[in-house]
Amino acid sequence: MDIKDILKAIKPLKRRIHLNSAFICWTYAFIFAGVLSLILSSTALFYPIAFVKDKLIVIYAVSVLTSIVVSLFLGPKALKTIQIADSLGLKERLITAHQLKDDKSTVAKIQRDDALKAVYNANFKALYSVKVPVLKMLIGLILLVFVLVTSLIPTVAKDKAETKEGIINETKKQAKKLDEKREEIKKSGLVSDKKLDEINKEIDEMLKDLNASKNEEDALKSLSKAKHELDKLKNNTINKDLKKMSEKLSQNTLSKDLGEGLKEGDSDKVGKAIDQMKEKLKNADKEELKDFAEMLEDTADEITDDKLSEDLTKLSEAIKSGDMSSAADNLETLSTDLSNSVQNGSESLSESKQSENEAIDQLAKTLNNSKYAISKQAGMNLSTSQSGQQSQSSQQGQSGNQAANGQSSQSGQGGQSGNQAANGQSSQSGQGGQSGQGGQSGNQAASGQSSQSGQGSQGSQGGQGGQGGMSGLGPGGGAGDGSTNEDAGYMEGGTSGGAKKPGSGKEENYEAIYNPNRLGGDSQSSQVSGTKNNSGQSQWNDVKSIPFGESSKVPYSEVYSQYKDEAMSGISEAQIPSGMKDMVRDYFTTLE
Amino acid sequence: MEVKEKDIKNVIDATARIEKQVAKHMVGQNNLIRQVLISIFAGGNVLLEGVPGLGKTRLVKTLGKVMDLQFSRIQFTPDLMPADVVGTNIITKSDDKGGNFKFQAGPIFSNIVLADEINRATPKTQSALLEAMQEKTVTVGNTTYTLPQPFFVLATQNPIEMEGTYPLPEAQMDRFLFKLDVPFPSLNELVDIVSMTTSKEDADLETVTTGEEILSIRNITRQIPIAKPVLEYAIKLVLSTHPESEHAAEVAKKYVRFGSSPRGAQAIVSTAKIRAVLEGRYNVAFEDIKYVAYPALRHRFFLNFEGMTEGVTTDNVISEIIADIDKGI
Repeated sequence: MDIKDILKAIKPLKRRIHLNSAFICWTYAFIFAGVLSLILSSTALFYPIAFVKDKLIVIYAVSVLTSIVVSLFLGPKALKTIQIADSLGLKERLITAHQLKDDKSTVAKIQRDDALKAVYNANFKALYSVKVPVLKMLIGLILLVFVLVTSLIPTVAKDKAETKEGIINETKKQAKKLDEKREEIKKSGLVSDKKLDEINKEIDEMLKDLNASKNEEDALKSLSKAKHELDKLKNNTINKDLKKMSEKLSQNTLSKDLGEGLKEGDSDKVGKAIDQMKEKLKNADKEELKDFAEMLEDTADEITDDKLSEDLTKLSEAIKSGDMSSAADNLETLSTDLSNSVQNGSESLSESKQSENEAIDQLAKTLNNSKYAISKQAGMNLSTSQSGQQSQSSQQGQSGNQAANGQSSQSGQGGQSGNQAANGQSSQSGQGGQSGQGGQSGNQAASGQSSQSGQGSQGSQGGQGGQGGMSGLGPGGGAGDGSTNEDAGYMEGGTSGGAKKPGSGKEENYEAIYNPNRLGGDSQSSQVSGTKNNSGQSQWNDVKSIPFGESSKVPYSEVYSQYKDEAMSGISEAQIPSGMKDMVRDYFTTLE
Repeated sequence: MEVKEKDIKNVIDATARIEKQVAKHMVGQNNLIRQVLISIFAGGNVLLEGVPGLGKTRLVKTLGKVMDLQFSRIQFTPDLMPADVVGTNIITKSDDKGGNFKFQAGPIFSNIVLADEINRATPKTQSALLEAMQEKTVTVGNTTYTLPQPFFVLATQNPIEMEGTYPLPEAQMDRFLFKLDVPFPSLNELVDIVSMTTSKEDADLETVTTGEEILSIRNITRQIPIAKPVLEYAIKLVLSTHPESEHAAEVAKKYVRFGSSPRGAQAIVSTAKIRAVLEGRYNVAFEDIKYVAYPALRHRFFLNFEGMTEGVTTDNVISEIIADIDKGI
């Protein structure tokens, strides 16, 4: 006989000890889960916690599973079993045998035999009962009942949590859809590998943000950001070339007008500028011609469009050779090509590039749909058109005629255009009464006595293009430095009324912006009196500059966060129409 | 010497035989008899304490007869001299008209020595037993004499009538392996005692064991294994009686003046092994330690003034110490 026989003989006892330990482990885990769940469910009564029921189930499941796994390792060690067996009446026979396991003496052998005999004679079932910790189990059950009761009590916080759950679910659903769309594009083979990598990178980042988003604000923000990034990925080489040309040409006095024309995207102006350039070339001295030719050569090297590059090279060579008649011909050719390029824009893209753009558009459309779905789930009156069709609502562009009777105030972010006739008492005043981000164009006729005054920040960010603009006796007016419609308007496929092209605002001139503490200041309201008809006097003022001095402007980077914070604060406090929220959010996302 | 199962059984049989014979002359007192036997098998001396008439002397005499051992009795009185115990050199006449010193062995030269009412002798005489009890030798003059084996002293003392007595000093108390309290018999036992001693003559006793067998039993029981936790338990028990020890029990800190000597631990372990064998086991259990702890320790540590005035006994202290240690297991 050796110690192995004894250890084998006490296995039934070992199992019973193990079972008791497991019972205790399970019970404690049950109680622990109950306490944790009760805390959670109680907290959920007062604070909106999404997926509380799921979390409660997870807590119980994890606790129970963990306790089961842990209990597997709670089997007593041999020495512990021996000690317990000895305490059950074996009178230290086993511990002595265990200690003498390597002893070959007769007395040790006799002792082991005696110990084994004692083990066989012991009735462990009677000596060591398996005890279910009833009291502790009862505590666990009571806690479970409390958890169930608290989780069933309806509260406002729970309603909010339910809404939150819907948003999160919808967000995840949309994330899945986007992922599927991406796969679809990948399979279609429309997009080059390089472009696909870029798209994947953006989408991956967006999906990461989307899945991590805790509320609809985060989700919509990540979607907007992704859409903006996708827009950047769209192929628009001709515009890039034109931009480059514009920058280069603006640096030279001979081609400054042409540069401006290109920047404005005005083909007529381009044509006029080239005509003027012809005259300037005739009058230019050699040094100027030499610099101009070199500049043209540099520009030709930098742009990707072969046709334009060739035109510029030829022109450069003609100027260098002093052949002004040839240069004039080349200028003509350049004029034609530039006009075409300006007008056709993306039409000049290759088929493959267009396919890529279409694919990106599809993704962008899916993003839009996702935004719509999420905002709908969040109960927001988001104006984003689901299918990408242009939606002209009050938030996205006011067009047509607007007749204001009595007191009216106009505000909008889209381009506001068309004719506005105000008869009777009409007032357009106040701070930001017309704070359009799009260009405001069109004619406004006010009959009778019309007074439009105030410190209106019309088109504070947008360029106010077109004819007219706001007129009035007061110092109101818009335009000035600001972003173009394209940037500020951020229309979902919409165009500003009457404004075909971006406004005259200078793109990317973000450096200076109105000091926010000057906005929303006091002003006097005025009334336009008179009878509403189409006759009467009208006054027109073209406002070409900002109404404040340079001191009222501060660097963009200094105020951006303040503007954004205030806007976000406004969103959260619901001080602006719900439909505007998305637009405001998108706007600031675009600026980041 | 290799211990065999048969040897262990012989020990149990021998004990049973002795107890059976002793029971012929002694009524009840089974536990006392068992403890005296344990002490004898361990080769230790026993101090029996009890009021007169409880059969202390009778027990010792009976054991002497049953074991076929040389027995001597010394009645300790205040005028008893050491030489009366150990013996002395006497002058003897020789044929050539000269004289020689001859050692006249005292009653101590015996296997079983009954030191009756040991506390009545003077400390000087009591001290005469020290060497014999510990080293099993006697030194007279320049000569040391070895005592016959087995040798053990069974002393008695009366806890009452303390006037004119000389309480045993600590050093001497420590030489006793066990101090046994002889309890007063129960009603039934007393009836039997009275009936037995007044109606007929004592039954004849048989010699059921020998000195050699006792020595053999001593060797066998020494080989009984003791597990480390059990040994540590015994050591903790002894250390717990030391009020200054880190293992000291609260009760010891409060009531004990001096703790037990290491002889206490030796006594516990050696006698626990015998007790285990007598219980039919081949290993020492905690219960063996607890069983022998009282007789082995009760005379080895001393209560302080507070303990004595509060009527605390050493047995009370041992009980609390055991309870204290059991909590920690």
